[in-house]
Amino acid sequence: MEGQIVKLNIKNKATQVSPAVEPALENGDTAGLINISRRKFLKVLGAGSAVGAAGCANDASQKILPYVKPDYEQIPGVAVWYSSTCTECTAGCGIKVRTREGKAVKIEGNTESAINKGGLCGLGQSALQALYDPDRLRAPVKVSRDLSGKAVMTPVTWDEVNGVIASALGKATNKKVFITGELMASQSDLLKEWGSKLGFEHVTYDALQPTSVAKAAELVYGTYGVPTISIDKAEVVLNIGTDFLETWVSPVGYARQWADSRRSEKPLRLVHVEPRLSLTGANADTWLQANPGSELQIVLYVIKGLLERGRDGGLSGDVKSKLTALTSGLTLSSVEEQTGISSEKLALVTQYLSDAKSSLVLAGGAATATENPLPLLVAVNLLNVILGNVGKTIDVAQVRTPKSSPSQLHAAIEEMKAEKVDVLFTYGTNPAFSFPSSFGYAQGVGKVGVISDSKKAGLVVAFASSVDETAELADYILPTHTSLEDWGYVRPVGDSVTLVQPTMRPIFDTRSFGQTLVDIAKTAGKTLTGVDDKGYEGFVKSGFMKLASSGGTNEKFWLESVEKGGYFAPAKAAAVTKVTVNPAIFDLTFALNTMKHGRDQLVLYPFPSVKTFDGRAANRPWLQELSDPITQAVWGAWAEIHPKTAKKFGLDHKDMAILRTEDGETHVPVFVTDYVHEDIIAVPLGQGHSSYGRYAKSAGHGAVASLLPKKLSISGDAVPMVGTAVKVVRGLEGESLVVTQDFSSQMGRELARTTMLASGVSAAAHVHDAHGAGHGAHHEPKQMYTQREHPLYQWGLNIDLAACTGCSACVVACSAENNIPVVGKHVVSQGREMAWIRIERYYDAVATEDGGEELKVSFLPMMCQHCQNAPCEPVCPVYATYHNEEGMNAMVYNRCVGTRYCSNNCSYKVRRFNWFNYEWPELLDWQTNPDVPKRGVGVMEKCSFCVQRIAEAKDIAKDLGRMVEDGEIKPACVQGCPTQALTFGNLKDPNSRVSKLAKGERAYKVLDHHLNTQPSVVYLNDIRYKA
Amino acid sequence: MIKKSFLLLISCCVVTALWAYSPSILQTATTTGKSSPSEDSFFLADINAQVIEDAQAQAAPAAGAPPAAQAPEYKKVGVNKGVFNGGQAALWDLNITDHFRYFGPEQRLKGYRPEQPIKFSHVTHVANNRIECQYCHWSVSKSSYAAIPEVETCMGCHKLINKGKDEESTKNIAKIKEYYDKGEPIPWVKVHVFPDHAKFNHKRHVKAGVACQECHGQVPEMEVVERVSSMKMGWCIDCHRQRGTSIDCLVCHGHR
Repeated sequence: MEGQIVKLNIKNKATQVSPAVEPALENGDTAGLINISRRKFLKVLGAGSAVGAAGCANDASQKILPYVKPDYEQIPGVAVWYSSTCTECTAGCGIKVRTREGKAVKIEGNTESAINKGGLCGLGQSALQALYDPDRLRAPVKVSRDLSGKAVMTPVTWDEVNGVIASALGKATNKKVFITGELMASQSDLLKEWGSKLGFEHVTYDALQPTSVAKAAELVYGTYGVPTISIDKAEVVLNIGTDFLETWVSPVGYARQWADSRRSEKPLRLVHVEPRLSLTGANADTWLQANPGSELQIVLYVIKGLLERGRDGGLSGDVKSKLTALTSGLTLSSVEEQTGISSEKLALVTQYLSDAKSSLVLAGGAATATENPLPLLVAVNLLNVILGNVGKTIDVAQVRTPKSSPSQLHAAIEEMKAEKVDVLFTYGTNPAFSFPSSFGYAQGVGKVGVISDSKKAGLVVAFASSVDETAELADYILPTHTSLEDWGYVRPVGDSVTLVQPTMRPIFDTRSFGQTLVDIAKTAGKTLTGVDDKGYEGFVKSGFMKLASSGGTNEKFWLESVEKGGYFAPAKAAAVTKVTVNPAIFDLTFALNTMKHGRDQLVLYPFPSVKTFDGRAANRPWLQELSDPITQAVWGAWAEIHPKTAKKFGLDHKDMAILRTEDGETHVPVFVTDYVHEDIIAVPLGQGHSSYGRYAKSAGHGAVASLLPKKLSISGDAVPMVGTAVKVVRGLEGESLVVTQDFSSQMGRELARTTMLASGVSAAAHVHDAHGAGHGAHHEPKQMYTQREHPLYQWGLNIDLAACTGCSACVVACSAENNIPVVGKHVVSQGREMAWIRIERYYDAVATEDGGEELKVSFLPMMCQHCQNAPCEPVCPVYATYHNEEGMNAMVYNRCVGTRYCSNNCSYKVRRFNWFNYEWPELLDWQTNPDVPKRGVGVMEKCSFCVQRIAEAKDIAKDLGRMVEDGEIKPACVQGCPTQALTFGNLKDPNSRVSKLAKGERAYKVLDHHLNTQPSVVYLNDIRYKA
Repeated sequence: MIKKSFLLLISCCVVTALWAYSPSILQTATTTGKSSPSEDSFFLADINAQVIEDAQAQAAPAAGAPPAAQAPEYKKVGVNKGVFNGGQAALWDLNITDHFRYFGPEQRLKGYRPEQPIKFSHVTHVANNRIECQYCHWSVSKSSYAAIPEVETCMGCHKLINKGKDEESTKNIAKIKEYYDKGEPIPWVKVHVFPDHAKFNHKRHVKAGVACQECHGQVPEMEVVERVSSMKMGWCIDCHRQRGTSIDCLVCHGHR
């Protein structure tokens, strides 16, 4: 609708708040804060776009509200983009935020950024749903407890809170502690100065930070931090447990590097070692299922093999002899027995690494979330030194330095318990949820500032934008801006300094975290160095100018940086190519992390998932409804166990299991799969919230932290999440497990195809060995009907399965762009999910060179194929779906009468039917893309190739008097893909990228050789090395 | 009996049809309340002509002689009635069966003239004082939206012009200041309500040389803006067919 965003609001029985989750607001809760005044609402909305008057567009007059003062930055109806930096994890990906009429509606990757190069993961894209969290805190609150101990929140003013803080700081005689997560550099720089002036001790805790990796790098390479790695420069990558395609350190950047190599002439070979099949493992050429905790043996065995081959990477004699002594005891049979990996495979791994000109060995993730992770990590680093990777694929000088310290948090909790802490501030972290509850964080908070049993003089203040478990324990909660409303700078790695800038005006009475710190210091009468009367914003600017001084110094440079998203320093060659290893590292005990469990127990194996990370993403409805790439489960946690184990414990697929340890218990449904070790029970992190918002709370149980013992790793750098023995009991009926794909076989239909490569042979040379390249990849069948003609454009999409990791970022991008509703667990269980793209996952067996069989996991992004001979078109009685002159299978919503014949006749099952009117709760609907209509009940919908983006590009091209150029149109999935596995363009133009790819030797169309549907979506075979 | 009432029904329909298609009745229905400006002051806006003229004026300023101080020639453009759709109109698009026209909500009817919060007269501003459409509706050639002007745009002139031609106009001008001082938008009531699920891109139509009046009617003559077009699909298609532009569904549908 021109001029305004009309909220279609046909209230009838079929209307559902999306998803069907009861708003979890009780009396005295934040409910009172929701009703912002009309005036404020209008101010925030910024007018221009109008608020559709309540009711249906057909029966009420509509208002057009103009701006009071024009915003010279924007033209109503034209999007304005702001560059910023993603702060969801610490990777520091550059983002571009699309705003319409003052509201952020879409987040995309910034192509300028050297880290993500344009792609963005699902978590980063869903940051909008944190900005528009319907349960977001809207004003400062005082928290009191009712008789049952439940938190009751009463709104207070900022002045009141500032007064309380000032008096508490004045009175405090004991320690003052500030617990934060990994902050953006501007905030941590400010906090450092602030903490020293106000006498606060700063503790950082972030559950997923690879602190042990950083520590091990210090021990071997000499610099604390996670080294910069170049996966694309390696021929062979041996990966011990890191999920670098999912959540580890910088997943988008690593995925891009991985994919760039995989689709090159000489693709890298990935060997992945872990007890449970992860997404990264699923993409590996060789997936080795090792006994949990035995990974060190593999690395030592490989080192032994290399030393025997005379490879020492220039290690000093002392180190070499110590290493020889350490590995001498290993025999093939003992390693095979302890790791559970066959001797042939072990020999192959050594062979691969030894033969490769360049290689890379990684360790981290769940493999190092153990009691003693350092020996493994040190051994891996030594292996990298031996292989000569330092300076080639590993830059040990440019590092990321995680500040998180579980041991410091542990010490702080102990002090709190001992009543030695008077004031506690928290921000950006959730230890009450993600730190093992056996450490007693909650009890510790209860003793902050206790004078006697009945009296409490201390103060606990949480800075938070959404009320999580940690914030709920505080006395006062101060609402902060999200990073989409705030300023800041980030220093991801190297010399680059990227900027965070506000993309819209604050929605509520929230304040910038940095500015609040400045205000508190001012009230306390302290002057902060580097902060002038411009406050935090000025601090960010001056700090940025200082840090990025090699890029420029004047105002013009600042403005350019704000426009671009920061200062991106040119890439530097690795400064360190040789390291001298200190023999003192052999003082470590190189012992295995033996994981024992009783007869009725299993080893707990928590893992971070792309759906939830460590729990920070649990309140994002897009991510909750996203099908997990491996299990295809939606909404809530699950526990993966092996069929043999399931039989032993009397559990069936989707049964409820109770996991019990001495410290706690939780209930999760069981997912039975062959690809998990028999001894373990694998549970994703991050579910089972008791607070944090309606979506997180409604997703059910599965809080891992409640099961873990009060134990840190030997060096204190990690929480040993893996290794706890849990008792598993069959539970009663509970929440069901809902999966969207209950099968894993392609049934010989060759949906996802693979080109098998023998060792050392390039992809191009070997394509004729394609697994099932079979009938008719390039064979033109006879046509019964005249073929369609496309005068100017024929849009086509190309999906390179060799680059697709299955990460599902495209699904989130599509949901955000196309206003796809989230329907909730129950509706999904009825097969009524609405996602336009699904990532199909198939398990195949492929032949190995020695005649055996090996697992091959395939991911197949499946959306509307825009067939030239579309089965859906002739069956539509009302001509609502038809073939248009640009080669698209068009869907006209207002013509659709909902017979669903098209969906029944669709060979790809990609059409989605609106069984209800789905509506977002207030605030989440602000994200709605005004360029895409909302579909009502009774209407069929499906992928439109982002027709609104095609229209926009054609509009621009017409203004300039030319055709649309190749690469100008990027549908949301193409734009968001971290690996750029998707390409969109004009098939009519023989020189377009998509036409060239479609003519390539790996190209095929799904089901086309069976059905002659002639899809416009062309897939390229996956590539896999024969083991 | 049945036969008789059937005949009656048929004759009723015929009468209705005659009435509906009678241009004279249509004319009276759409032009109520118009003032009649003299022919030469008649306005406006073949935008392209204006743009070309501006460009010419800029290109040749140094010819010595000052530019002629005459008003640009304006072309009278008629309203695109379009209901017949070249004989191919769908049943609902014919006036006789157009339920929006006779039984639909008020704001979809021709001649819908809602009361506005401020009695803004296009006659005063456009016809008499010759303010170009795009002076206020500036985004029409830049965006798919032809946005209502910002309150500040009104204040641009009315900071100085705070007296109207009569007492009522002065009161109305005072109201603008009131909204402006409060920082509140003026809640204009939408006249040309476009159907859902379709996109109309103002920029494309303006750049293609479609004059404002073809859809919005003789706004310069309207004291109160009223709806003149059905804005139904047949009406759009009719014009697209006449001009030989695309009638692919996805040109307007599937996005907005």
